[in-house]
Amino acid sequence: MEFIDYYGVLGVEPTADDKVIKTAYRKLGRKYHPDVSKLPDAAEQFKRLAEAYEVLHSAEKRAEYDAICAARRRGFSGRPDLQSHNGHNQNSHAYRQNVYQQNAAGPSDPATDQDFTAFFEAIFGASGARQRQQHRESFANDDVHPLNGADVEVEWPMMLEDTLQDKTQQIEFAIPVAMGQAPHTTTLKVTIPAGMRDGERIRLKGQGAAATRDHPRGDVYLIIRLLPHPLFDIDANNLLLTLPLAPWEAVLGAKITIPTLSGKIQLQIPANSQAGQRLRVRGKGLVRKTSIGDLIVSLSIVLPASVNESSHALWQQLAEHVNFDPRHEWERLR
Amino acid sequence: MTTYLELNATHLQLSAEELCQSANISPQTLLTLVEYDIAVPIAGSQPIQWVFQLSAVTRVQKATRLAHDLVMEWADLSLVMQLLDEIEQLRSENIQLKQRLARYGWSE
Repeated sequence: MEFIDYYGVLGVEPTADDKVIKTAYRKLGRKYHPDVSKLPDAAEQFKRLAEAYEVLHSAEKRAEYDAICAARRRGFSGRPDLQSHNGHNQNSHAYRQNVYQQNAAGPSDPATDQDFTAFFEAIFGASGARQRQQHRESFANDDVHPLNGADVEVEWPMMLEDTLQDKTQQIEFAIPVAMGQAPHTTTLKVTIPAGMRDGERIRLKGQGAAATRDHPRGDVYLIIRLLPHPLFDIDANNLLLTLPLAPWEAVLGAKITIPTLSGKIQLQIPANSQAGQRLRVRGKGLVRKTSIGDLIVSLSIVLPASVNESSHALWQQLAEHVNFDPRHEWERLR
Repeated sequence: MTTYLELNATHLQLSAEELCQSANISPQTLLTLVEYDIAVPIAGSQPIQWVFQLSAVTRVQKATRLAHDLVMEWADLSLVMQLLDEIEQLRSENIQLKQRLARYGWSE
């Protein structure tokens, strides 16, 4: 078993007082808490940090840990004697089940999926771990029974086109059964209402994991994930489309067929349009519960990738005959 | 076997009691979270009538994790949640804007 230097984890001296330990924990906690940090190993780092704080902020646990450190320095193997902390370890299996059922009472909790290190459990046993769990659950509702079935979250990808009207979808997902057993696959046909946004949720009450005895089943939360569209971007209720135009289409005006989520339409481009200019097509945006957004068409002027000899001559004529300085604004700024 | 489900409004929102059950918090904690604007009911003037969006479940769970793990006061937590919301919104806008810029041939 690997010895863990809890003082090193928190970056404090073994002589540090409670205040220093608490300050170090809060400082590193802000950096590594999985709800705040985007670091890839944040969850793992935070677990080690929380374990170190768990030991060092409790006078009793810290004294026990310090005694092991002292014995280690005297040349003792450092491996704590499991039997001498007995009573805890006999309960270890029961503790694991308890944690599982607590988790089953609600959606999983990244910071509390406590797997204390073997080192921690060897010293303090399962009851040490359980004390921490109980402390954390000081928010918990006494009426909530841990025997309720687990909630299940299912991310459901949808195309933008499918949000325009109610859409019946067949949804298949796995429901956890119990530790060590294969998940149970459930299939539901659900009519997803029009106008769902990315990240919005639908609760399928009582469709989650089965409960113990007469307790209610958990719920399933469908989390809508709108897939990026190859042509359209989203801005609140509006859809954005970038429309490439040839320079002569922008200058002379044109009638152009453009895509919308519900089919193609003809759009009149006014003469003398500029790049970046926006045209609004009412009612062709996203459908929401109480309104329909617009399609905003943003004009982009593109040039041919290559120019042949005759085209080159025409551009040359333009350059010679048109009195146009595209940088005339700069004159004012000098 | 395929089960057919009829959806209604209750599939898109939660009562206060359901929120407490789903997020595994006490009613007293919920009152405090509402007092500090960490959980915001979308309807109902009295706690018994409160209605929440479903996203309140994960929000409340995140808030209680942070409060415990980082040993935070409710007022500090309220500010932290507000700033985390803003970061999330800015990240999302950033992704959207990068997608739009990519349509003009710009990339990092």
